[in-house]
Amino acid sequence: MSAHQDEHGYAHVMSPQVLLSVFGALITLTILTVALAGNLPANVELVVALSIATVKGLLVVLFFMHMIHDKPLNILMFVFSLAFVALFLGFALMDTGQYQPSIQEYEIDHIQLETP
Amino acid sequence: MATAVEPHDKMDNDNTNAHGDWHHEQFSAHHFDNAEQQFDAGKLGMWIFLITEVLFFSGLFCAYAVYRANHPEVFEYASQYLNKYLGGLNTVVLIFSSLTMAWAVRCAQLGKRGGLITMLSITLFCAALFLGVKTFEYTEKAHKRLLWSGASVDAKDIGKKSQVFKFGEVLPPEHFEERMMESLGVIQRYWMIVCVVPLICIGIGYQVRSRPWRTAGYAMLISIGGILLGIALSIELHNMQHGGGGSGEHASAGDHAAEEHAKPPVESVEQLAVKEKIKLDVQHDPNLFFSIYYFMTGLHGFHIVAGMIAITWLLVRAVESHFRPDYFGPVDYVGLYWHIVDLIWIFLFPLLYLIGSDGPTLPH
Repeated sequence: MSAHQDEHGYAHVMSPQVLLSVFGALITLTILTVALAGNLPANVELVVALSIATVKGLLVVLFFMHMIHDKPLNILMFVFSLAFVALFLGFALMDTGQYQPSIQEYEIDHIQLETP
Repeated sequence: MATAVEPHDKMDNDNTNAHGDWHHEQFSAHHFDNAEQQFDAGKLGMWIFLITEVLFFSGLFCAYAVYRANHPEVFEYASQYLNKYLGGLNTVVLIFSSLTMAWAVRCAQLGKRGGLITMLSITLFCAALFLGVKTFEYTEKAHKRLLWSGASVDAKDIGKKSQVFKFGEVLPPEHFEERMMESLGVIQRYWMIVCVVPLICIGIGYQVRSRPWRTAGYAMLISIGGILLGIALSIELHNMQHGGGGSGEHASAGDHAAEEHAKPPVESVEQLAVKEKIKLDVQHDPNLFFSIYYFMTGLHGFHIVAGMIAITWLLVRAVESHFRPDYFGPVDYVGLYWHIVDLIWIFLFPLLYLIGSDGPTLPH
Protein backbone atom coordinates (compact mmCIF):
# COMPACT_ATOMS: atom_id res chain seq x y z
CA MET A 1 0.00 0.00 0.00
CA SER A 2 2.67 2.47 0.94
CA ALA A 3 5.38 1.08 -1.28
CA HIS A 4 5.29 3.94 -3.75
CA GLN A 5 6.60 6.48 -1.26
CA ASP A 6 8.67 4.51 1.18
CA GLU A 7 12.00 6.09 1.89
CA HIS A 8 13.00 3.81 4.73
CA GLY A 9 10.88 0.75 5.08
CA TYR A 10 8.46 1.69 7.82
CA ALA A 11 5.97 4.48 8.51
CA HIS A 12 4.42 6.22 5.56
CA VAL A 13 5.63 9.66 4.52
CA MET A 14 2.80 12.05 3.72
CA SER A 15 3.28 13.97 0.49
CA PRO A 16 3.08 17.78 0.58
CA GLN A 17 0.09 17.69 -1.79
CA VAL A 18 -1.93 15.58 0.66
CA LEU A 19 -0.93 17.72 3.65
CA LEU A 20 -1.78 20.98 1.89
CA SER A 21 -5.09 19.79 0.49
CA VAL A 22 -6.16 18.47 3.90
CA PHE A 23 -5.21 21.84 5.40
CA GLY A 24 -7.21 23.63 2.69
CA ALA A 25 -10.24 21.44 3.38
CA LEU A 26 -9.98 22.07 7.14
CA ILE A 27 -9.82 25.84 6.70
CA THR A 28 -12.73 25.81 4.24
CA LEU A 29 -14.85 23.79 6.67
CA THR A 30 -13.93 26.15 9.53
CA ILE A 31 -15.04 29.18 7.50
CA LEU A 32 -18.20 27.32 6.52
CA THR A 33 -19.11 26.45 10.09
CA VAL A 34 -18.51 30.03 11.32
CA ALA A 35 -20.58 31.41 8.42
CA LEU A 36 -23.43 28.99 9.13
CA ALA A 37 -23.53 29.72 12.87
CA GLY A 38 -26.68 31.57 13.81
CA ASN A 39 -28.19 31.28 10.34
CA LEU A 40 -29.90 27.95 10.85
CA PRO A 41 -32.75 26.77 13.06
CA ALA A 42 -31.45 25.75 16.48
CA ASN A 43 -32.11 22.03 16.16
CA VAL A 44 -30.52 21.76 12.70
CA GLU A 45 -27.61 23.96 13.73
CA LEU A 46 -26.22 21.58 16.34
CA VAL A 47 -26.36 18.64 13.93
CA VAL A 48 -24.72 20.61 11.11
CA ALA A 49 -21.99 22.08 13.36
CA LEU A 50 -21.18 18.69 14.84
CA SER A 51 -21.19 16.99 11.43
CA ILE A 52 -18.71 19.54 10.12
CA ALA A 53 -16.58 19.06 13.23
CA THR A 54 -16.68 15.29 12.74
CA VAL A 55 -15.55 15.58 9.12
CA LYS A 56 -12.73 17.88 10.22
CA GLY A 57 -11.78 15.47 12.99
CA LEU A 58 -11.74 12.58 10.52
CA LEU A 59 -9.46 14.51 8.18
CA VAL A 60 -7.06 15.25 11.03
CA VAL A 61 -7.03 11.66 12.30
CA LEU A 62 -6.76 10.01 8.90
CA PHE A 63 -4.14 12.22 7.27
CA PHE A 64 -2.32 14.34 9.85
CA MET A 65 -2.18 11.43 12.28
CA HIS A 66 -1.43 8.96 9.47
CA MET A 67 -4.22 6.67 10.49
CA ILE A 68 -4.94 5.46 6.95
CA HIS A 69 -1.42 4.00 6.96
CA ASP A 70 -1.37 2.89 10.57
CA LYS A 71 -1.34 -0.56 12.12
CA PRO A 72 -4.79 -2.21 12.51
CA LEU A 73 -4.22 -2.56 16.26
CA ASN A 74 -3.79 1.19 16.74
CA ILE A 75 -6.89 1.90 14.64
CA LEU A 76 -8.91 -0.70 16.53
CA MET A 77 -7.96 0.76 19.92
CA PHE A 78 -8.82 4.28 18.87
CA VAL A 79 -12.18 3.26 17.41
CA PHE A 80 -12.94 1.34 20.60
CA SER A 81 -12.20 4.41 22.72
CA LEU A 82 -14.64 6.43 20.62
CA ALA A 83 -17.24 3.68 20.95
CA PHE A 84 -16.88 3.79 24.72
CA VAL A 85 -17.20 7.57 24.72
CA ALA A 86 -20.43 7.16 22.74
CA LEU A 87 -21.71 4.63 25.29
CA PHE A 88 -20.71 6.91 28.15
CA LEU A 89 -22.48 9.96 26.70
CA GLY A 90 -25.46 7.94 25.51
CA PHE A 91 -26.16 6.29 28.84
CA ALA A 92 -25.55 9.47 30.84
CA LEU A 93 -28.00 11.38 28.65
CA MET A 94 -30.60 8.63 28.77
CA ASP A 95 -30.26 8.49 32.54
CA THR A 96 -30.69 12.23 33.19
CA GLY A 97 -33.48 12.29 30.62
CA GLN A 98 -35.29 9.69 32.73
CA TYR A 99 -35.26 11.52 36.03
CA GLN A 100 -35.43 15.11 34.77
CA PRO A 101 -39.25 15.28 34.83
CA SER A 102 -39.35 14.26 38.48
CA ILE A 103 -36.77 16.93 39.37
CA GLN A 104 -38.87 19.54 37.63
CA GLU A 105 -41.98 18.36 39.41
CA TYR A 106 -40.20 18.60 42.74
CA GLU A 107 -38.89 22.09 41.95
CA ILE A 108 -42.33 23.32 41.01
CA ASP A 109 -43.81 21.89 44.21
CA HIS A 110 -41.15 22.90 46.71
CA ILE A 111 -38.47 25.30 45.62
CA GLN A 112 -40.41 28.05 43.89
CA LEU A 113 -42.46 28.58 47.02
CA GLU A 114 -39.33 29.38 49.01
CA THR A 115 -37.71 31.91 46.65
CA PRO A 116 -39.17 35.40 46.93
CA MET B 1 -3.15 -1.44 7.09
CA ALA B 2 -0.99 -3.26 4.60
CA THR B 3 2.08 -1.85 6.35
CA ALA B 4 1.50 -4.29 9.17
CA VAL B 5 2.18 -7.29 6.97
CA GLU B 6 5.41 -9.09 7.74
CA PRO B 7 7.45 -6.25 9.15
CA HIS B 8 10.59 -8.29 9.50
CA ASP B 9 10.82 -9.28 5.86
CA LYS B 10 10.15 -5.73 4.88
CA MET B 11 12.94 -4.46 7.07
CA ASP B 12 15.41 -6.84 5.59
CA ASN B 13 14.55 -5.72 2.09
CA ASP B 14 14.36 -2.01 2.63
CA ASN B 15 16.93 -1.22 5.22
CA THR B 16 19.86 -3.24 4.08
CA ASN B 17 22.44 -0.56 4.78
CA ALA B 18 21.35 0.07 8.36
CA HIS B 19 20.55 -3.53 9.05
CA GLY B 20 23.61 -4.92 10.74
CA ASP B 21 24.76 -1.99 12.81
CA TRP B 22 21.44 -0.49 13.87
CA HIS B 23 22.07 -1.56 17.45
CA HIS B 24 25.25 0.49 17.61
CA GLU B 25 23.63 3.74 16.60
CA GLN B 26 22.65 6.43 19.07
CA PHE B 27 19.20 6.05 20.72
CA SER B 28 18.77 2.47 19.50
CA ALA B 29 17.38 0.52 22.43
CA HIS B 30 19.11 -2.83 22.66
CA HIS B 31 16.01 -4.77 23.64
CA PHE B 32 14.38 -4.15 20.28
CA ASP B 33 15.10 -6.24 17.19
CA ASN B 34 15.25 -3.31 14.83
CA ALA B 35 14.31 0.32 14.25
CA GLU B 36 10.81 -0.52 13.17
CA GLN B 37 10.05 -2.52 16.29
CA GLN B 38 11.30 0.31 18.46
CA PHE B 39 9.17 2.80 16.54
CA ASP B 40 6.04 0.64 16.66
CA ALA B 41 6.37 -0.02 20.38
CA GLY B 42 6.58 3.70 21.06
CA LYS B 43 3.69 4.43 18.75
CA LEU B 44 1.49 1.81 20.43
CA GLY B 45 2.28 3.41 23.77
CA MET B 46 1.45 6.84 22.42
CA TRP B 47 -1.89 5.68 21.02
CA ILE B 48 -2.79 4.15 24.39
CA PHE B 49 -1.96 7.47 26.03
CA LEU B 50 -4.07 9.33 23.47
CA ILE B 51 -6.98 7.00 24.18
CA THR B 52 -6.79 7.85 27.87
CA GLU B 53 -6.78 11.51 26.81
CA VAL B 54 -9.94 11.01 24.76
CA LEU B 55 -11.64 9.28 27.70
CA PHE B 56 -10.35 11.97 30.07
CA PHE B 57 -11.92 14.73 27.99
CA SER B 58 -15.08 12.69 27.45
CA GLY B 59 -15.96 13.28 31.11
CA LEU B 60 -16.15 16.99 30.40
CA PHE B 61 -17.98 16.43 27.13
CA CYS B 62 -20.46 14.34 29.10
CA ALA B 63 -20.96 17.15 31.63
CA TYR B 64 -21.52 19.49 28.68
CA ALA B 65 -24.02 17.15 27.03
CA VAL B 66 -26.01 16.54 30.21
CA TYR B 67 -26.22 20.21 31.19
CA ARG B 68 -27.01 21.31 27.68
CA ALA B 69 -29.73 18.68 27.33
CA ASN B 70 -31.31 19.87 30.58
CA HIS B 71 -30.80 23.61 30.18
CA PRO B 72 -30.55 24.36 26.43
CA GLU B 73 -31.67 27.98 26.94
CA VAL B 74 -28.75 28.71 29.30
CA PHE B 75 -26.25 27.51 26.71
CA GLU B 76 -27.89 29.40 23.89
CA TYR B 77 -27.90 32.57 25.95
CA ALA B 78 -24.46 32.35 27.54
CA SER B 79 -22.70 31.33 24.32
CA GLN B 80 -23.44 34.84 22.99
CA TYR B 81 -20.80 36.18 25.35
CA LEU B 82 -18.17 34.28 23.37
CA ASN B 83 -16.72 35.92 20.31
CA LYS B 84 -16.92 33.47 17.43
CA TYR B 85 -14.33 35.37 15.39
CA LEU B 86 -11.71 35.05 18.13
CA GLY B 87 -12.63 31.39 18.45
CA GLY B 88 -12.40 31.03 14.68
CA LEU B 89 -9.00 32.72 14.63
CA ASN B 90 -7.82 30.26 17.26
CA THR B 91 -9.20 27.35 15.25
CA VAL B 92 -7.33 28.47 12.14
CA VAL B 93 -4.14 28.97 14.16
CA LEU B 94 -4.39 25.48 15.65
CA ILE B 95 -5.17 23.85 12.30
CA PHE B 96 -2.18 25.62 10.78
CA SER B 97 0.03 24.44 13.63
CA SER B 98 -1.25 20.93 12.98
CA LEU B 99 -0.19 21.26 9.36
CA THR B 100 3.30 22.41 10.32
CA MET B 101 3.53 19.61 12.88
CA ALA B 102 2.57 17.00 10.26
CA TRP B 103 5.14 18.60 7.96
CA ALA B 104 7.75 18.42 10.72
CA VAL B 105 7.11 14.68 10.98
CA ARG B 106 7.62 14.44 7.23
CA CYS B 107 10.90 16.36 7.46
CA ALA B 108 12.07 14.11 10.31
CA GLN B 109 11.21 11.01 8.28
CA LEU B 110 13.19 12.30 5.33
CA GLY B 111 16.09 13.40 7.52
CA LYS B 112 15.79 17.11 6.68
CA ARG B 113 17.19 18.82 9.78
CA GLY B 114 16.64 22.40 8.62
CA GLY B 115 13.03 21.78 7.61
CA LEU B 116 12.33 20.01 10.88
CA ILE B 117 13.68 22.92 12.95
CA THR B 118 11.71 25.47 10.92
CA MET B 119 8.46 23.52 11.12
CA LEU B 120 8.78 22.87 14.87
CA SER B 121 9.49 26.57 15.49
CA ILE B 122 6.38 27.60 13.53
CA THR B 123 4.30 25.05 15.45
CA LEU B 124 5.60 26.39 18.75
CA PHE B 125 4.87 29.97 17.69
CA CYS B 126 1.30 29.09 16.69
CA ALA B 127 0.73 27.26 19.97
CA ALA B 128 1.84 30.39 21.84
CA LEU B 129 -0.35 32.56 19.61
CA PHE B 130 -3.32 30.40 20.58
CA LEU B 131 -2.53 30.98 24.25
CA GLY B 132 -2.26 34.72 23.59
CA VAL B 133 -5.77 34.85 22.13
CA LYS B 134 -7.03 32.79 25.07
CA THR B 135 -5.34 35.26 27.45
CA PHE B 136 -7.38 38.04 25.88
CA GLU B 137 -10.59 36.01 26.08
CA TYR B 138 -10.11 35.05 29.72
CA THR B 139 -9.20 38.64 30.68
CA GLU B 140 -12.27 39.97 28.92
CA LYS B 141 -14.55 37.47 30.63
CA ALA B 142 -13.01 37.98 34.03
CA HIS B 143 -13.69 41.71 33.80
CA LYS B 144 -17.24 41.03 32.65
CA ARG B 145 -17.54 38.85 35.76
CA LEU B 146 -18.37 35.89 33.57
CA LEU B 147 -16.89 33.25 35.82
CA TRP B 148 -17.71 29.81 37.03
CA SER B 149 -20.72 29.19 39.26
CA GLY B 150 -20.08 30.37 42.77
CA ALA B 151 -17.08 32.50 41.80
CA SER B 152 -18.66 35.59 43.34
CA VAL B 153 -20.08 33.88 46.40
CA ASP B 154 -18.64 34.51 49.85
CA ALA B 155 -17.22 31.45 51.50
CA LYS B 156 -19.77 31.61 54.31
CA ASP B 157 -22.68 31.64 51.84
CA ILE B 158 -21.64 28.58 49.92
CA GLY B 159 -24.39 26.03 49.78
CA LYS B 160 -27.24 28.46 50.29
CA LYS B 161 -29.71 28.18 47.47
CA SER B 162 -29.99 31.94 46.97
CA GLN B 163 -26.22 32.30 46.61
CA VAL B 164 -25.43 29.44 44.32
CA PHE B 165 -26.78 31.30 41.33
CA LYS B 166 -25.45 34.73 42.27
CA PHE B 167 -24.44 36.77 39.30
CA GLY B 168 -21.26 38.86 39.62
CA GLU B 169 -21.59 42.64 39.54
CA VAL B 170 -21.37 43.73 35.91
CA LEU B 171 -19.23 46.79 35.27
CA PRO B 172 -20.48 49.59 33.01
CA PRO B 173 -19.02 49.08 29.52
CA GLU B 174 -16.65 52.06 29.56
CA HIS B 175 -15.13 50.98 32.89
CA PHE B 176 -14.98 47.47 31.69
CA GLU B 177 -13.08 48.39 28.50
CA GLU B 178 -10.63 50.45 30.49
CA ARG B 179 -9.96 47.79 33.06
CA MET B 180 -9.58 45.06 30.49
CA MET B 181 -7.10 47.08 28.42
CA GLU B 182 -5.24 47.98 31.59
CA SER B 183 -4.87 44.34 32.55
CA LEU B 184 -3.65 43.43 29.09
CA GLY B 185 -1.45 46.53 29.08
CA VAL B 186 0.36 45.17 32.13
CA ILE B 187 1.35 42.12 30.08
CA GLN B 188 2.26 44.25 27.08
CA ARG B 189 4.39 46.63 29.13
CA TYR B 190 6.22 44.19 31.36
CA TRP B 191 6.72 41.21 29.10
CA MET B 192 10.43 41.99 28.96
CA ILE B 193 10.76 40.88 32.57
CA VAL B 194 9.69 37.39 31.55
CA CYS B 195 12.34 37.42 28.82
CA VAL B 196 14.95 37.31 31.58
CA VAL B 197 14.45 33.55 31.89
CA PRO B 198 15.22 32.67 28.24
CA LEU B 199 18.03 35.23 28.16
CA ILE B 200 19.63 33.59 31.20
CA CYS B 201 19.27 30.23 29.43
CA ILE B 202 20.94 31.61 26.31
CA GLY B 203 23.64 33.24 28.42
CA ILE B 204 24.39 29.96 30.19
CA GLY B 205 24.39 28.27 26.80
CA TYR B 206 27.10 30.58 25.50
CA GLN B 207 29.04 30.45 28.73
CA VAL B 208 29.27 26.68 28.99
CA ARG B 209 29.18 26.17 25.21
CA SER B 210 26.00 24.16 25.45
CA ARG B 211 23.78 24.31 22.40
CA PRO B 212 20.70 22.73 24.12
CA TRP B 213 20.54 25.59 26.66
CA ARG B 214 20.67 28.11 23.85
CA THR B 215 18.01 26.31 21.79
CA ALA B 216 15.70 26.10 24.82
CA GLY B 217 16.22 29.82 25.42
CA TYR B 218 15.37 30.70 21.84
CA ALA B 219 12.31 28.40 21.97
CA MET B 220 11.09 30.32 25.03
CA LEU B 221 11.59 33.61 23.20
CA ILE B 222 9.50 32.25 20.31
CA SER B 223 6.76 31.33 22.79
CA ILE B 224 6.77 34.77 24.39
CA GLY B 225 6.60 36.39 20.94
CA GLY B 226 3.65 34.18 20.01
CA ILE B 227 1.71 35.04 23.14
CA LEU B 228 2.29 38.79 22.63
CA LEU B 229 1.22 38.60 18.99
CA GLY B 230 -1.87 36.64 20.03
CA ILE B 231 -2.87 39.33 22.54
CA ALA B 232 -2.18 42.14 20.05
CA LEU B 233 -4.18 40.41 17.30
CA SER B 234 -7.19 39.84 19.55
CA ILE B 235 -7.17 43.46 20.74
CA GLU B 236 -7.06 44.50 17.09
CA LEU B 237 -9.97 42.21 16.26
CA HIS B 238 -11.89 43.39 19.32
CA ASN B 239 -11.43 47.05 18.32
CA MET B 240 -12.43 46.32 14.75
CA GLN B 241 -15.68 44.72 15.89
CA HIS B 242 -16.50 47.42 18.39
CA GLY B 243 -15.41 50.41 16.35
CA GLY B 244 -12.69 51.46 18.76
CA GLY B 245 -14.69 50.32 21.74
CA GLY B 246 -17.46 52.03 23.63
CA SER B 247 -19.57 53.17 20.66
CA GLY B 248 -21.89 50.33 21.47
CA GLU B 249 -23.48 50.19 18.04
CA HIS B 250 -21.88 46.97 16.98
CA ALA B 251 -21.53 45.72 20.50
CA SER B 252 -21.82 41.99 20.93
CA ALA B 253 -24.40 40.38 23.12
CA GLY B 254 -21.97 40.52 26.02
CA ASP B 255 -21.80 44.29 25.83
CA HIS B 256 -25.53 44.46 25.48
CA ALA B 257 -25.80 42.68 28.76
CA ALA B 258 -23.33 45.05 30.34
CA GLU B 259 -25.27 48.02 28.96
CA GLU B 260 -28.53 46.75 30.31
CA HIS B 261 -27.12 46.78 33.78
CA ALA B 262 -25.73 50.27 33.33
CA LYS B 263 -28.85 52.20 32.42
CA PRO B 264 -28.79 52.41 28.61
CA PRO B 265 -29.66 55.85 27.27
CA VAL B 266 -32.34 54.79 24.78
CA GLU B 267 -34.15 51.52 25.02
CA SER B 268 -35.28 50.13 21.73
CA VAL B 269 -37.79 47.34 21.52
CA GLU B 270 -34.94 44.93 20.92
CA GLN B 271 -33.04 46.09 23.95
CA LEU B 272 -36.10 45.75 26.11
CA ALA B 273 -36.58 42.25 24.80
CA VAL B 274 -32.98 41.42 25.63
CA LYS B 275 -33.50 42.85 29.10
CA GLU B 276 -36.45 40.58 29.64
CA LYS B 277 -34.38 37.67 28.46
CA ILE B 278 -31.58 38.52 30.85
CA LYS B 279 -33.97 38.72 33.78
CA LEU B 280 -35.20 35.30 32.81
CA ASP B 281 -31.69 33.96 32.51
CA VAL B 282 -30.24 35.34 35.70
CA GLN B 283 -32.41 32.71 37.35
CA HIS B 284 -30.90 30.19 34.98
CA ASP B 285 -27.39 31.49 35.57
CA PRO B 286 -25.04 31.73 32.60
CA ASN B 287 -22.28 30.91 35.06
CA LEU B 288 -23.38 27.32 34.75
CA PHE B 289 -22.22 27.51 31.15
CA PHE B 290 -19.03 29.27 32.14
CA SER B 291 -18.15 26.60 34.69
CA ILE B 292 -18.11 24.13 31.82
CA TYR B 293 -16.42 26.62 29.49
CA TYR B 294 -13.53 27.25 31.89
CA PHE B 295 -13.07 23.58 32.66
CA MET B 296 -13.04 22.52 29.03
CA THR B 297 -10.92 25.34 27.59
CA GLY B 298 -8.73 25.40 30.68
CA LEU B 299 -7.90 21.73 30.44
CA HIS B 300 -7.35 22.17 26.72
CA GLY B 301 -5.08 25.15 27.37
CA PHE B 302 -3.13 23.07 29.87
CA HIS B 303 -2.61 20.51 27.11
CA ILE B 304 -1.37 23.26 24.82
CA VAL B 305 1.20 24.26 27.43
CA ALA B 306 2.30 20.63 27.82
CA GLY B 307 2.54 20.38 24.04
CA MET B 308 4.70 23.50 23.91
CA ILE B 309 7.10 21.99 26.43
CA ALA B 310 7.23 18.79 24.37
CA ILE B 311 7.86 20.74 21.15
CA THR B 312 10.65 22.70 22.86
CA TRP B 313 12.21 19.38 23.84
CA LEU B 314 11.93 18.21 20.20
CA LEU B 315 13.49 21.46 19.00
CA VAL B 316 16.46 20.98 21.29
CA ARG B 317 16.94 17.44 20.02
CA ALA B 318 16.40 18.44 16.39
CA VAL B 319 19.10 21.09 16.64
CA GLU B 320 21.39 18.44 18.12
CA SER B 321 20.71 16.29 14.99
CA HIS B 322 19.31 13.45 17.05
CA PHE B 323 16.69 12.48 14.51
CA ARG B 324 17.38 10.47 11.39
CA PRO B 325 15.23 8.51 8.93
CA ASP B 326 15.43 5.38 11.09
CA TYR B 327 14.94 7.26 14.36
CA PHE B 328 12.20 9.88 14.31
CA GLY B 329 9.78 8.32 16.81
CA PRO B 330 9.66 11.21 19.30
CA VAL B 331 8.69 13.67 16.55
CA ASP B 332 5.93 11.35 15.41
CA TYR B 333 4.62 10.76 18.94
CA VAL B 334 4.54 14.43 19.91
CA GLY B 335 2.93 15.05 16.53
CA LEU B 336 0.15 12.58 17.37
CA TYR B 337 -0.37 14.28 20.73
CA TRP B 338 -0.49 17.69 19.08
CA HIS B 339 -3.10 16.53 16.57
CA ILE B 340 -5.29 15.16 19.38
CA VAL B 341 -5.12 18.57 21.07
CA ASP B 342 -6.17 20.11 17.76
CA LEU B 343 -8.92 17.50 17.36
CA ILE B 344 -10.39 18.32 20.77
CA TRP B 345 -10.42 22.03 19.91
CA ILE B 346 -12.18 21.23 16.62
CA PHE B 347 -15.07 19.89 18.71
CA LEU B 348 -14.88 22.49 21.49
CA PHE B 349 -15.13 25.38 19.04
CA PRO B 350 -18.62 24.70 17.63
CA LEU B 351 -19.91 23.36 20.96
CA LEU B 352 -18.92 26.46 22.95
CA TYR B 353 -18.73 29.33 20.46
CA LEU B 354 -21.22 28.56 17.73
CA ILE B 355 -24.55 28.13 19.50
CA GLY B 356 -26.88 30.57 17.78
CA SER B 357 -24.22 33.22 18.13
CA ASP B 358 -25.54 35.70 15.57
CA GLY B 359 -26.66 38.46 17.84
CA PRO B 360 -28.84 38.12 20.92
CA THR B 361 -31.62 35.59 20.74
CA LEU B 362 -34.89 37.31 21.37
CA PRO B 363 -37.64 35.71 23.37
CA HIS B 364 -40.41 34.29 21.23
